[in-house]
Amino acid sequence: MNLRANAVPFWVPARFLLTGAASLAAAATALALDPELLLGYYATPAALAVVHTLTLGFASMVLVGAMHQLMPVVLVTQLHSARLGTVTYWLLLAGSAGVVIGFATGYRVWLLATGGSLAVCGLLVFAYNVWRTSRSATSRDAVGAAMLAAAMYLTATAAAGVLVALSRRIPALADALGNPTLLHLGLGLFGTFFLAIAGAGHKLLGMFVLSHGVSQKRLRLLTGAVHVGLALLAIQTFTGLPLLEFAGLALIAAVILFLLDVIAIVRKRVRRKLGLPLRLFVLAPVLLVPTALFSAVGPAPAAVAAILFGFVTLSIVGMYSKILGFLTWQHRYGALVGRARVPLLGELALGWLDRCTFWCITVSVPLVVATRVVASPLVATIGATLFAVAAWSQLVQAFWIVFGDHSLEAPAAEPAAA
Amino acid sequence: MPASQVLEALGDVIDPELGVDLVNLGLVYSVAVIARNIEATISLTTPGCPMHGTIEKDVLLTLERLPGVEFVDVKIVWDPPWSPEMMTDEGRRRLHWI
Repeated sequence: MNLRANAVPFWVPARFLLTGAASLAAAATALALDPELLLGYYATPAALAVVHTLTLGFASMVLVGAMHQLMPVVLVTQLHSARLGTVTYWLLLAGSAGVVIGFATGYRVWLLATGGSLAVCGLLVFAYNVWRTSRSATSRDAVGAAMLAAAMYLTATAAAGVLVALSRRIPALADALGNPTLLHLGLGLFGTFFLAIAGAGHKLLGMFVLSHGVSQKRLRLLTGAVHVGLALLAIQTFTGLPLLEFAGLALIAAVILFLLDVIAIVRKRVRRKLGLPLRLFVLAPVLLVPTALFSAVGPAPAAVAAILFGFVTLSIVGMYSKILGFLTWQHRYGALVGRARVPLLGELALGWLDRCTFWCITVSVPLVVATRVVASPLVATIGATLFAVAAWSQLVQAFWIVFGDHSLEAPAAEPAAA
Repeated sequence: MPASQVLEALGDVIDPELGVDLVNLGLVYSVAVIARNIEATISLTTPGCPMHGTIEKDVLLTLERLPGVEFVDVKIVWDPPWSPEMMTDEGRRRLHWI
């Protein structure tokens, strides 16, 4: 089994990751400049522009980029096509820009439909690439299954988004489809982000903290629960049958299984002291508790804020430096190994930026969620400002990791874990 | 050349993610020195570890630099699977396990 063969060209995943960090900074800046967006009606064009900069521009970009790297590792095979990865990037970039501009300029349906269709095309190419990669897998497990399903749900999310946009302008379509907004949300937040984070997290968290012997049974069950929940949601959307509560129960079961999985991995870890990014990743699932709470008792926008700004963003930011650091290390220093001193992976990142990102984002996320509950402009302003500082800190860190001078002359440092 | 010299050299091969050398991580399963040839059998902390090729190359180049060595064979095996119990006390200390 030659694992060297699964090396993916650096810029295939890296351009997604850098674009993702830039999008996070853009979304956070927009919020900091207009924190009232956190207080007002959540479906205004301006608010939807910010949300889609976050979901399409940041979360999906990072997810798609990371999966180009992770799927071959998880499945112990080669990426089917690096060229298709490049095609995906440009289609997704153009599509995301179209959708965000379509919202930012006042809900221009033709721009939303065009951008959304481009994004769907890009994600179809991605889904095909991942599916072909999975066909040559030499290892099939629950992690690969969860991530493959997340890739498929991402395409479905974008397609559902196009339907949402079109159904607002074409009454006949709205009559035929009902309201696909909830399905679009469910596919995106649970089918795509939750499943990808649960799957990749099981593998990566276990690998980074040296946690051995954690069964994949919970991951397999939670993947099944997400499938059931989303199937019920789809049936309710298209038939009108009252299945929302059952869908919610299935998704809550998936969340509980995920929390148990993370706890099991963390409890069995050998690497006791976690770096700040990993602490963010471990902290992120806690935000699923207010998500469930606000989903049950309201306000609903607080639930969306908790899962999107909290769980999804914290999880992705937590793993981001690890994934980009690994890619960069292989790209810049892999050829020097054994011939010259090379930095450790942890030495690629600047510690003070890690601290800045960690503290700003851990303080800002509860404030952003609380804004929806207490309706305070002051809380919104502080939360949005700190969130922007965290996002910019993460962006600078990303560029430092890829392009910075990592001071090879310095003496070997303590383990990155510290 | 004694095997201890080979192990000492492998102490310079650092896992770039963990910052601990392969010997203290318990990843070196065996070394055999036959005349001017070295055969090193190692494992990795996780099957599918993306550092596979890099660590293998690091071991190869490090051992090839030893004086008098003509041929180095690095074997990566998964059986027995590595477990944290294989680490030395020094390795555990550096990961804050003890």
